[in-house]
Amino acid sequence: MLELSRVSLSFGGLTAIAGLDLRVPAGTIHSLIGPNGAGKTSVLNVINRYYTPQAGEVRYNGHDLLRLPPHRVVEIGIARSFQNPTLFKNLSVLDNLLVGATHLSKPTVVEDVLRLPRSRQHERLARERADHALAFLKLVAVRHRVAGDLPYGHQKLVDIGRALVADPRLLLLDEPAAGMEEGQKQWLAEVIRRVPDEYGAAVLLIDHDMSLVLGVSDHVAVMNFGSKIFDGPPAEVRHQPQVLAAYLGTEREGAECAEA
Amino acid sequence: MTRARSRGLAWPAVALALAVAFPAVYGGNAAIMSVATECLIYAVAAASLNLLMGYGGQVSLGHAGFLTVGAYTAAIVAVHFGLPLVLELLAAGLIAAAIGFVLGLPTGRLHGLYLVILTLGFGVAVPQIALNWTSLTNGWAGLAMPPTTLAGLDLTAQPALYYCVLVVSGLCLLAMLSLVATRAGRIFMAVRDSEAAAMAMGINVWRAKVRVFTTSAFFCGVAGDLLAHWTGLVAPTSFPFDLSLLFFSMVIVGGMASIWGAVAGAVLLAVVEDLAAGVGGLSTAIIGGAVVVTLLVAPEGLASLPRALSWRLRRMLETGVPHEIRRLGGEDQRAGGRHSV
Repeated sequence: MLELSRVSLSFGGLTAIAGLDLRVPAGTIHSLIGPNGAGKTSVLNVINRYYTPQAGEVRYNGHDLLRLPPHRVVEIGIARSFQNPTLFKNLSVLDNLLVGATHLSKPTVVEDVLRLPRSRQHERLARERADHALAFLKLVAVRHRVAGDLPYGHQKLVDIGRALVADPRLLLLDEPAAGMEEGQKQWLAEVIRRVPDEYGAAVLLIDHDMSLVLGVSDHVAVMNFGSKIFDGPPAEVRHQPQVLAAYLGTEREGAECAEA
Repeated sequence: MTRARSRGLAWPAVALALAVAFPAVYGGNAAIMSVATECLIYAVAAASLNLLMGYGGQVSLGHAGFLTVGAYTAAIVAVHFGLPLVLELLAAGLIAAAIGFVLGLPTGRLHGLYLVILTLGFGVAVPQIALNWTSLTNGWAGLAMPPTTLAGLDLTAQPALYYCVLVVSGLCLLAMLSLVATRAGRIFMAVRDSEAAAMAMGINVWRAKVRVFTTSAFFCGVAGDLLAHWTGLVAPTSFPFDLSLLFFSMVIVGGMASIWGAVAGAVLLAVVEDLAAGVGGLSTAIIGGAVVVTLLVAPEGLASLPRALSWRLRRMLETGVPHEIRRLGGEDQRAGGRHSV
């Protein structure tokens, strides 16, 4: 269970997150939506420890996340994908996925050079997990392609695959559908729906594609200007006046947008 | 899979066979044997620098400094302690690695040009330290390597030295090839391509950078030890700053992120350097010219040539069928579809 309480983050005078409370229970698919600039990606970056909030608490299964350096976050079971697929662009798709297994076991450089048992064991485990993710995401055919040469939509799937290889209990997805074509989006929705059963991981999803979000989520939270304006089941989100106002704008909020 | 693997082993097998058979043909020519030995040593130095630059995404304009450290370690260990060759090589590598570790510590904050200046300063400083630390290095006169034997073979004679260097270089290259194909190498490349994503995957970016510096320095130190045996004398003037630039050029000419490319670049430039040495003042200009010509022919370095040539050859053989259509057949349709042209 991920718990953010009263989290606030600002950059200079700009408030990105204002006293946000958010809970993602284990095994569920939770979405975070909102207009551009609402602070959604900042929330992921706080969870991932790229940003340190000025106030508030972030806890995950008893761990105080704010005490961890960024590279330890995956060790307690949180992996992520990026808004703009941030792949290791000169590596093959397979090698990208293998990097996902980095934290699962840690042979030393000398063990790797001499291919001692711990090194071979790591390679075997990494290969197994990578092969599984390739099959799960239907990326087997492109596994030897250079990741940076793939079409955008495929890169996003590879990004997700790399996170899945890391064996997360919580998967953070930052706008996975952006830039995907329609058929691929449907495949993505199926992938996300299957993640909890297939990988035993909860999902925290950020996206602008409403049919994807409403189709896969158990729970939806809506953010605007750094604050949560709705938190509830997906069936109700469309009928909330404050959500409609945030997306379509009222006169007052339209003016604020223009200023920002 | 097996076809790919056997094709992957073809080049190294040819290279090894040529290297082993070499003295049988040229063993009588001392000058050629000397250059061949030098090529093998420079191959390790260039590969170690490529580990840092091509795989680690760092820069060093001072790798001759690690070579110097390795060479002096070899001489001091041989003169004062008379250790067996294996321990001497290990000592040279480890002491260079220790200095590489220290030099790597600031890489968490230093990038690009600042790192260039740091390593440049290191490369320039080491010979000066060697010149002035007289009690250890014997100053400008340098240290003569005592005669070394290995299993009864006199390593001051050819082809014994050549074969000894071949074995050590071969093992070093094998170690680096193994490294870049496993977790350790993937960590280096992950940090090179995206520090943010590497972090999210559990990689301590700073530690990875320090580690690639340390590993690179280790192998360069071993090369320095071999070089001490090759020159027979280790002096402050043995390792000028030009040498760092030469290694840098070998990496670029050979191709980034390729151990075999570094070997090819090292052999090419070492031979050019030797041929140009007779021309006196123009030798550096000739080496520079060779770098320019190679990069005009193969902009991504010698390592990219085999693939480029075989691709062009196949295209010529497949006249009539546009290669774009042919490529589509073998690949995932969604992947190939709109982007392969």
